[in-house]
Amino acid sequence: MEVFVAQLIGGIKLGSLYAVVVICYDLLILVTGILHLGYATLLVLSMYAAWWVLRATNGNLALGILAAVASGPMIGAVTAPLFLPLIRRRAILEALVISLALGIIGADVMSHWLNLGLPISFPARLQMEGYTITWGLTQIRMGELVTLAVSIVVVFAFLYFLNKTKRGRVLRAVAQDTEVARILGISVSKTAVFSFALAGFLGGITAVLFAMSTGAASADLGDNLSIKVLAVLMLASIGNLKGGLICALFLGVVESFVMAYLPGDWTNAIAFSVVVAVLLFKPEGLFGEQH
Amino acid sequence: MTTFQIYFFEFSAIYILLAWAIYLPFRANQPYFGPFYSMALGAYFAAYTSVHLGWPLWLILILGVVFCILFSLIPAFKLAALGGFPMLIATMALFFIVQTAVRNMDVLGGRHGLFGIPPLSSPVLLGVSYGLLLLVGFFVYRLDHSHIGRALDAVHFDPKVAATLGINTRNLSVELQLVASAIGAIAGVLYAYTFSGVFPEAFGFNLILYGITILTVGGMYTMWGVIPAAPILWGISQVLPDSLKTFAIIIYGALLIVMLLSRPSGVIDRQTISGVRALFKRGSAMPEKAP
Repeated sequence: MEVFVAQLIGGIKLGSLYAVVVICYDLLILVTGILHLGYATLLVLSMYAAWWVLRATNGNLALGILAAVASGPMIGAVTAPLFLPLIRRRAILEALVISLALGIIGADVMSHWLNLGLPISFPARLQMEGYTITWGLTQIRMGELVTLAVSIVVVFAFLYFLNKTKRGRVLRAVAQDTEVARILGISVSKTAVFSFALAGFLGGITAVLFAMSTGAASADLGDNLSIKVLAVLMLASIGNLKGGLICALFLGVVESFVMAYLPGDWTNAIAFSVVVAVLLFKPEGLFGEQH
Repeated sequence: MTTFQIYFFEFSAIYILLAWAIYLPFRANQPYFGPFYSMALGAYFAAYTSVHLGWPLWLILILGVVFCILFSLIPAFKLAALGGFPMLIATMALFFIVQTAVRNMDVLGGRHGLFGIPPLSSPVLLGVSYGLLLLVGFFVYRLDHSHIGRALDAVHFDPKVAATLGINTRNLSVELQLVASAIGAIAGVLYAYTFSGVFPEAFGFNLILYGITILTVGGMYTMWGVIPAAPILWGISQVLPDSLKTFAIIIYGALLIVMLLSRPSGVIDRQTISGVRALFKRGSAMPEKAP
């Protein structure tokens, strides 16, 4: 029973992390029309930035976290100009290929030059190693609980921002109808750059949370992450925020249990079989379109 | 012939076949990544039947193509109805399912791959490869210049108008998917024979990057672009000095991004082709306008 509950908590934690990433994908798709396949890899780059600063400053946690959170929007703003001409042309397929290329370049840089391509690990202090909650046979690290709490706060803060603030309304307007938004005097290009930076900022926070909960990162983490997020996006139907949140939590819990009770790395195959099954029988996704 | 030369000619043929397989659905705006998993399936089919059952090459080729067509037929109609983003993600999902499955199946060699296909002598291997390349090329050319080719153009410019003109866009998409899978399967069988075996790492993100780069840089609006692009792009990564070889992936990615931003139709587009034709045609100096 304790193992079950620990797996459940671990799964919800994983799911809430996926949820933040799914939100970023949805944000980019709705506002810019781009399915950013390389986004997860750029997120892992933020983790490498934090690791680099931590190593350079002899483990100054505050600076490391700052580096991750600051590098996210920077990466977003630097890569945004590549997409702008394509967003204006509505050349969705080309933009997708460019994002794929960006992701592959990022993964290649990480697997060749950063830490000689070896996986990086974060200091135990970042995961709050000393503080654990012991319950029967299982131990839950404080870092995991903080990750869970922060990611839930981030999701709700984002939803508040999107629905209650003026900036959020601009984002929703562009997402709903780009042409009408332009007629009303909204600069679509600026909004696109802003959404890239915002997605990067959320990505930076997620990078810290990933570092906190797993304590390690490697070059192929981005690929694994993007595969799972794509599965969630397909399940929930692209651009559906609420559906995405539910599916992300669901995938996290399922993955946690599959890892605990099944041998081999079948998680991806199972996730994708579900996706393909859903696509074949309910092509618009479980939750349908919502704009 | 040296081993390098054999590899060079073999891989040129394989990548041209793969690029043609992606080219056909792309012409009808169908981002169909099926050829990538067809290639993996074809390669594993060849390795398994040759190593464990001792089948000859001609039988493997025929049954491999049939096997891949049957596999692609299962989701084909639903994929045709989906189109666009969902089609792309669904086919990528299938690609990852195939990848995870072969990596975890002991009968297919798992992570180590499956080796031990009886090697063909190099003239036979090259003869078979280029014979098939000519055959497929002739088929693609005839397809391009038949009523199906004109239907593809119509669907490319406006699917709705194409539908009102009496083109059954769904059936057209299914046919394209099956033809693409068959070509992908041929590429996969040749791939397995070139290496005398297969290994799961061959079918990852990099394969997608190579395929898409060759098609995009060569030109995705005509079948001729990939013919120079495949040997040149594959050759670049081989003739680079060792100090630069680690940059190969980054060079590919950068080339892809620059190309998509500066000349989305690729180096060789239809204008180039009709220009070349006009050179050989006496009397008509003006190349006809083509998209």
